[in-house]
Amino acid sequence: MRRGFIRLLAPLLALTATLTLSSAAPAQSPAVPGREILVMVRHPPDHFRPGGNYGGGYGDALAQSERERLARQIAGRHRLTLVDQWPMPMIGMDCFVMAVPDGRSSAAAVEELSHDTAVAWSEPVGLFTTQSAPASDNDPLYPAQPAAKQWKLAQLHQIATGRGVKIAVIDSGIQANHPDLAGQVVVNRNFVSGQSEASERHGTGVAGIIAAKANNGIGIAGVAPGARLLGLRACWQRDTSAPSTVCDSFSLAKALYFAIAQKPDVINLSLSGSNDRLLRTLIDTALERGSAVVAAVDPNKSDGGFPASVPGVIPVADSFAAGRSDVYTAPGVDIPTTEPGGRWFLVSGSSFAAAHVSGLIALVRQRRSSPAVTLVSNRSGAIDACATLLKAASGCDCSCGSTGTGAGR
Amino acid sequence: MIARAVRPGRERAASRFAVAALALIFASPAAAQLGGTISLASDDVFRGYSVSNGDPVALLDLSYDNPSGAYAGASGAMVVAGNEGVRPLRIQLNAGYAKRVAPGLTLDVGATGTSYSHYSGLRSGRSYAELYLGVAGESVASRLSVSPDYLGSGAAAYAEVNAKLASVASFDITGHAGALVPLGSYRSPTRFDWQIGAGRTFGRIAVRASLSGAAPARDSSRRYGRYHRGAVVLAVSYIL
Repeated sequence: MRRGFIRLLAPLLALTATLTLSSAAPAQSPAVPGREILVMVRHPPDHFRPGGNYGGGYGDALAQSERERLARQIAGRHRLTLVDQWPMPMIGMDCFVMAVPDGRSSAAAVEELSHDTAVAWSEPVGLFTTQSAPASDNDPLYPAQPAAKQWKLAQLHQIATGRGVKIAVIDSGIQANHPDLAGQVVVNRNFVSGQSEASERHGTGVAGIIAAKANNGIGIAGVAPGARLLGLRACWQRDTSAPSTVCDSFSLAKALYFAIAQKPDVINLSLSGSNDRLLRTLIDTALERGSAVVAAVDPNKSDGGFPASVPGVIPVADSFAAGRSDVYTAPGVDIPTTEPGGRWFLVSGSSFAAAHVSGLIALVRQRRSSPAVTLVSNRSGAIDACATLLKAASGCDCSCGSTGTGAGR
Repeated sequence: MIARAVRPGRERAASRFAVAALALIFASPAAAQLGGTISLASDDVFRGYSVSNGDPVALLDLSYDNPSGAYAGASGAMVVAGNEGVRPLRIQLNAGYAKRVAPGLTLDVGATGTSYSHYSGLRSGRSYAELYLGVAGESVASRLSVSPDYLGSGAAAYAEVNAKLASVASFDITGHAGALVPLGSYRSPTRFDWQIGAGRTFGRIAVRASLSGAAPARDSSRRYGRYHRGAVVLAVSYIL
């Protein structure tokens, strides 16, 4: 019997020896647009594996072994370097980041990979920019928010505060312990490869506009102070040159994938870049699952940029865009909001107009949980926040008039 | 003399399978996926009972996935059997077909063949085959397996549910519940088993701890293995 087993195990051990390959080096820095590409491979359906381990355990480890081996083979065949990976079973795909050597263009590598039968599709890592106008100065501001007058924020809060609503903010890092944000950020995670959590201006500013605590005697009041934020850092702050906060499509994909799994009511994307198939797939999944997706419009693009131009996504700009009937506008000029370091500052840009709309949708969702959101706006796209919220809160004895009879939160 | 626990025909078939698997590495089409892990575990618990007589085991698991949905796997174990040192314990082979029928829903059908040595502590019928059918969602999977002669006890069906329960501090918590229903003319009681486990991966190393149990408690016949109340198993794996 012993001989029998040895005869059996010997070829299996030989198999094991050939399977042992060196491990891929861990990613050291954010994916580099221009030098790196994403390679999408179909994720095999999860299935029974022998050995008696259930759900996870050896099954997941075996799937990881297969995935990494296949990635190294693909990289070897095309003379690329495997840099990073992220399984995405929800969309039936595994995503690999591969570096293109100097002397070859990433477009040529993408074209070559599209003919490899093992690859579902390949795309370059794209660069996305947040839509914030350059900061003019850093002086702290007294609360004088345009939303107070234009949107009648105090009356809105008589009707709803966003309680029970989750908003995913995919942006640069949020200072979750800022005095005006403490307790509002329930998840704070970093998805930028090779980096850890950080407190950065753009993300902190967007978070403050959406959910800064109200009636706490300091700073500003967010549009939805009762809501909770998922801070998902997929962008990082560059100190030099404008635009000062950037993101890459791999970090964005990871953050969006994580966000979708949390089933948030709203996903805020105050950023813009080129059409991206992976992000489009994920955004479509988010919309199908009932999340509202709000994106900032790039004023330099005729279609508003991506992802603002994706059907189903709510595109928001900070000023009246002449001739555009399909873009919403919201307060986005000289907005006081939270800044890292426990301070407040003035910001402008469609990033912050989008943040206003994410907060408004949270108020609507508190009153009416159905995924369909109707935004009431005038002919030039300017949102009437009171009319929007009252439409959703039909059946409540409340109004946004100056006599403001509050009837429930 | 050590009794032969594996019938010659099965052993040859399994050997041929292993050689074929080796050939697959070099001849596999571009998109086929091959994976393996080597593990050490403090016990080998299967459906609520220790099948290594309570002794620690070294495991080798291999898997093959074809883009068509066909897959195959092999799992071999050696046991640290007290004074006798490291001895072969079991070999299990399987092949099947899995298909994603809707977003987040997969159907899975296949067959397994398992063979144990006497070091498992099993008294008789140490080889058996099973056919299975499974349905898996994003975090819950269920499966029904049927064997014409399960561990020498006659025909039996095993129904199980496995679920990813939560993720806490990067550890995945999983749960399992199963019921073994003897089919056939004489009435044996249905046996239940459960397991809860937590695992995490650090690069190429995976660690896992699990707690399992079974009911009815005693199995003096050692038909299904050695029973521990509340068996704890610790395991560490290296991903090839």
